[in-house]
Amino acid sequence: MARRAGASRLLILNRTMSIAIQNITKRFGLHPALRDVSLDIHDGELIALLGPSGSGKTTLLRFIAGLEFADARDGRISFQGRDVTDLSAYQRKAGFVFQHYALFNHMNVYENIAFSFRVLPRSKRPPESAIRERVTELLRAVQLEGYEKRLPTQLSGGQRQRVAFARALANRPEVLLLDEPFGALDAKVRKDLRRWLREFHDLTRLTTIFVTHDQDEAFEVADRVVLIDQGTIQQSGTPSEVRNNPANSFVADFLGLTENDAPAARTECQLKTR
Amino acid sequence: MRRRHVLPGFGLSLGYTLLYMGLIVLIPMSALAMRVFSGSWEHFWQTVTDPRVVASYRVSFGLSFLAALLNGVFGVMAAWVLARYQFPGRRILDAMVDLPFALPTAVAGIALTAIYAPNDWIGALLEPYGIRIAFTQIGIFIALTFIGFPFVVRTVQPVILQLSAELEEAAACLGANRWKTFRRVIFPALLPSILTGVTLAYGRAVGEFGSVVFIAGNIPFETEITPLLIISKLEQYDYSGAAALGFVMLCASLVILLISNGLQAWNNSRNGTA
Repeated sequence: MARRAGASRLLILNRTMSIAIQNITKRFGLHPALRDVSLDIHDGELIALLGPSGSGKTTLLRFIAGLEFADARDGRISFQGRDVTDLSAYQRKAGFVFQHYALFNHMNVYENIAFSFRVLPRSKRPPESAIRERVTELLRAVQLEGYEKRLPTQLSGGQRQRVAFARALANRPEVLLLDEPFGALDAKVRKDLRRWLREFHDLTRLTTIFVTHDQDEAFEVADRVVLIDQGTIQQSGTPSEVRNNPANSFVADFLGLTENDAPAARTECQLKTR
Repeated sequence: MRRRHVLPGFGLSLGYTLLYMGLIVLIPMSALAMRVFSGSWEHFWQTVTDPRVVASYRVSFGLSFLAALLNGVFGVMAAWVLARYQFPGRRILDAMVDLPFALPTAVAGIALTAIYAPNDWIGALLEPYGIRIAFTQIGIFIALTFIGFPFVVRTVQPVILQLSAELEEAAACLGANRWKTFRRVIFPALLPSILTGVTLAYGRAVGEFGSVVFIAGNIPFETEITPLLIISKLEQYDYSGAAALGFVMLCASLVILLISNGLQAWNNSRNGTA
């Protein structure tokens, strides 16, 4: 259930609050993608936005990055207590990893990762030696040392994914946003990257939000799972909370359908939904 | 050497293609070359280095180059507007781009002369300032720009349509504003297609005859283009002279084609397996 606005306003004062989203509504034409959504994300959390396709989870992620804007004026979003509602994407500088990576094909791996430094105004741009150091450090972190000169078209899907990670992290964003990060990869690579993401997060404690429709992925990787359907948050809690106490019939149904295949339980859930 | 193919008729279709190419393209061209080399080398050299002829190269190749450059700028702008924005009349404008393709070039020539001649619309407006367009090199330049325009638009437009919005969003999330996104992401991605379009427009302009002769005035050493000299040599029954000039044009066209193919290969290698 969407939390009340009053509660989240209090929480902004809390130092550990990384991202506060209040009363966001967004429509595409007549179709409401988000309905009065509020969500607080703590510093260092690893959150999964889980839901069926068309539920609004990607819209919410894009809203956080500044790639979508809310319809009504009363919807607000803040990073670390700083109101960023009216800032566009290039001012918010959230680290965003796109589903299809969106690497710049005409640049090699090094230049892709260095991009966020290249576009800084000259007065704020670090010296080339510092950029090189940071890129090398990131390439080591994603296990792609020695690939600096490769073009994106010369990499495998998993390698492109990791370049996209490194590029998003280069200029130390306040938050890392991942849109279906493992969706386009084959099963083995997906498993490795999942584990890698979990370890990376444990190491850096960077606030991270990822969108997925795969509940195994969400429950295995995330600290907290936020279930979204029909543009509203249905439940938010740790994996075990959600599993043991599904808040409503949607949650039970969504988890039950793939979790246990007992046909009786499934029918019961579906009946409850109606 | 005998291999099985899924589709039958390989031998037949290849044979037909070779025959067709031979009849339509290769035999006339070798006839041209044979006529050139059946005459004396000195006569050939004298014809192609005659000062009046050399002046015509300068007009043909130089003005074509400038026209292609101008098309490079405005063709890209037109392609951008047509590919990116929805506005009333867009389809009509889109169709009108092809007009210089479809129009008989003589009609274009008459139309341009009709508005730029000293006692007509635009010509009369500019005459008091001492600017003459018809019967000067500016007139030729305008005609060559007119006929080359569609080449740039039609090669760049599909590439713009193919660019995914994710690339621009990725650049924005990395801190690039609109201008930097264009300069560092969009423009480099379009560059090969822009160069291809400009080369094609250049090739077309070098060989252009119909639209230029009316507006050029054909003043020796000033506004005479090479194709016009070929015609006038033919009219004087100087077939070997005409063939010599034709041979020079043929070589120039081959070089332009080679450049254009090289650019296209470059374009494909970068955007091929994205």
